[in-house]
Amino acid sequence: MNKRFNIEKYLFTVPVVIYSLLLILLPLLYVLLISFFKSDSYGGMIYTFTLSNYMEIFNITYIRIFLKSIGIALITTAICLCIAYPFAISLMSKKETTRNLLIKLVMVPFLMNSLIRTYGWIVLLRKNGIINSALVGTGIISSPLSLMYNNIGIIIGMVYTLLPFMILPVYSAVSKVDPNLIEASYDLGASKTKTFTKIYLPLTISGAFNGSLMVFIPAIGYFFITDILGGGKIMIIGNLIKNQFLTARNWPFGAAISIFLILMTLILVSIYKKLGGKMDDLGGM
Amino acid sequence: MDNVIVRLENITKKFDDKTIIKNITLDIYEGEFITFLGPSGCGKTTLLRIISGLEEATEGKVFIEGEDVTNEIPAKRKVNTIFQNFALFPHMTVWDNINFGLKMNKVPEDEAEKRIKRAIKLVQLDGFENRYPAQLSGGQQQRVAIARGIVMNHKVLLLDESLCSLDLKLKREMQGELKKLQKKLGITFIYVTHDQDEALTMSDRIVIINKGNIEQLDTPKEIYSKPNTAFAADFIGESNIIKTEITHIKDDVAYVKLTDDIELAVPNNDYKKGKVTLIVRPENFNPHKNPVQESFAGVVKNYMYDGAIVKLEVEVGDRIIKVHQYDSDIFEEGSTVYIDIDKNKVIIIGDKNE
Repeated sequence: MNKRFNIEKYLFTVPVVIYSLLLILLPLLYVLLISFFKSDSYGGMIYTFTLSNYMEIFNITYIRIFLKSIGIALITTAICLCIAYPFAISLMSKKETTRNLLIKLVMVPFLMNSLIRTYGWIVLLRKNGIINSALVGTGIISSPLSLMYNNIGIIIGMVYTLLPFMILPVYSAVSKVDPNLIEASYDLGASKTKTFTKIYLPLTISGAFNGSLMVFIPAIGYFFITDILGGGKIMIIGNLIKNQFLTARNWPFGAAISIFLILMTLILVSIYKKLGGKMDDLGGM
Repeated sequence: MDNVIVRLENITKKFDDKTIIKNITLDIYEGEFITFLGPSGCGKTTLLRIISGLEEATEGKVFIEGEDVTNEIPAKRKVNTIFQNFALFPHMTVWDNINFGLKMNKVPEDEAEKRIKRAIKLVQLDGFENRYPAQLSGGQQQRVAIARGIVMNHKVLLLDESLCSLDLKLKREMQGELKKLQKKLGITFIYVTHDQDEALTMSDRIVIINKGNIEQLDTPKEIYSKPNTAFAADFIGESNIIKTEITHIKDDVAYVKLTDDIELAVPNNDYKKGKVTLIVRPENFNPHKNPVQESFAGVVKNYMYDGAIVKLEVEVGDRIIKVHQYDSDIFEEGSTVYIDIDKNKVIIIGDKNE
């Protein structure tokens, strides 16, 4: 009886194990492997070991793209934090039903494909789009603003797409703060700002870091947002990798950048761990 | 004579359409230990929060040290609260917790250090300065919370069911300490509790609150011996509350019906003939083995040994009355007991003479 139960238990894990091995671990190992191969000029690979792909990353052209990506991702993360905290804290003073409704609204965008939603922004942001027409029409500005095909458009798109990933962990952390602590802080003479920096922030820092990781990492790689709202003029790491695989047909170099990106992510996670963050808050690891 | 330190004027508080506090006016004096006592949901905590500013009164005014603070935020009010769960900042050490209020009020560092050291000494937490709240016992956390409040040097400290979460023995200890501390500091403690023992042992005055009204406001002794209402009598101490009537009055003695057959003669010059509530504390019924003058007989239904006293439940006619016994006579269940009464300690609540 007991034995049969055990077999059953293992049986149910088989699909997931196969899925992980076949579709995640093996491809990842393959990427790691080809990152050490040479490419030939026709898009094929020469199976000899080399570190040149990794050396290539430190070419000034690519370093510029890396810095640009990190810059855009950092700004996106910062804007998301600045929106998520006030939202989460203001939710705490609402009734539970209102709170649940608003949190559900945060998740509504997940119901629709993000690519389609990103195309939707073109209608809003372009020169004769809704926002510019409204601003010019009401006389607030005289000539339309350039809201897309530049960094602004990319950041708007990134923030829009990634904001829920910041709000959810931040809200979850904020909602665990004992409201009495906040009252005690006010009672002892702290202002709202001081209460935020001295009580809320230190007690929810793991949620903030969690959300920041979940925003920062995709923000480096979401090439479709730069493609659509950056008009293909601006490259981030995501575009670079995509181009190596699809356009330049230099798979080994694309693989090397991918591995480099994974390493950067792992470094960020280990910093988080060092700072005392719990892996559980990142969804377990 | 005494200085009023906190004045509540016609305070009413409504949540949505529910009235939690109904037009309460109250003066609290400098240096007194005053307790808001009442069942849960009576509005006592809300009243405390209105004083601290964590809650806004719907109507009425709050004065602290003579200043109208009705529209002031908590940070600007010269009072501090000790929360029920202590609300210590978990990411700060004991020292930093106590220092928090001083930092927020920009007290110079050297003065802050002196005040913190004094507060730590007062609550006997020397040596725990660098611990975090999670490394402390419940009693120690309580002390940190008190130190964090008193270090602000305000003349009023508000304590919200502060001993509630401690175990019984620790609670008793802290009761004594709180009272001592309050006397030593000479500041006003406004204490909220639903525990009548706590209220009786610590308070100079007790405010009994029921359904948003002040039921009675007096010293513990006065409330115990002369409760204004059946609610007050029931809430403070044990009592026999008997709804009955005065059948006749003769020579300043009222004859109160206990059962159909038994009438108690009670000295009276206040009350009229008619329906009254008779309140007798169990210790004012004296049980005897043999009949004594003016005693009536009953049957022991229940005998509970409780150390210093024995608690009896006695059936008299169609009533069960609670009787406390202090001597060592043993009454077996089912045996007959003769009871007389301390006439002067009987309380009658009913229509008074004009």
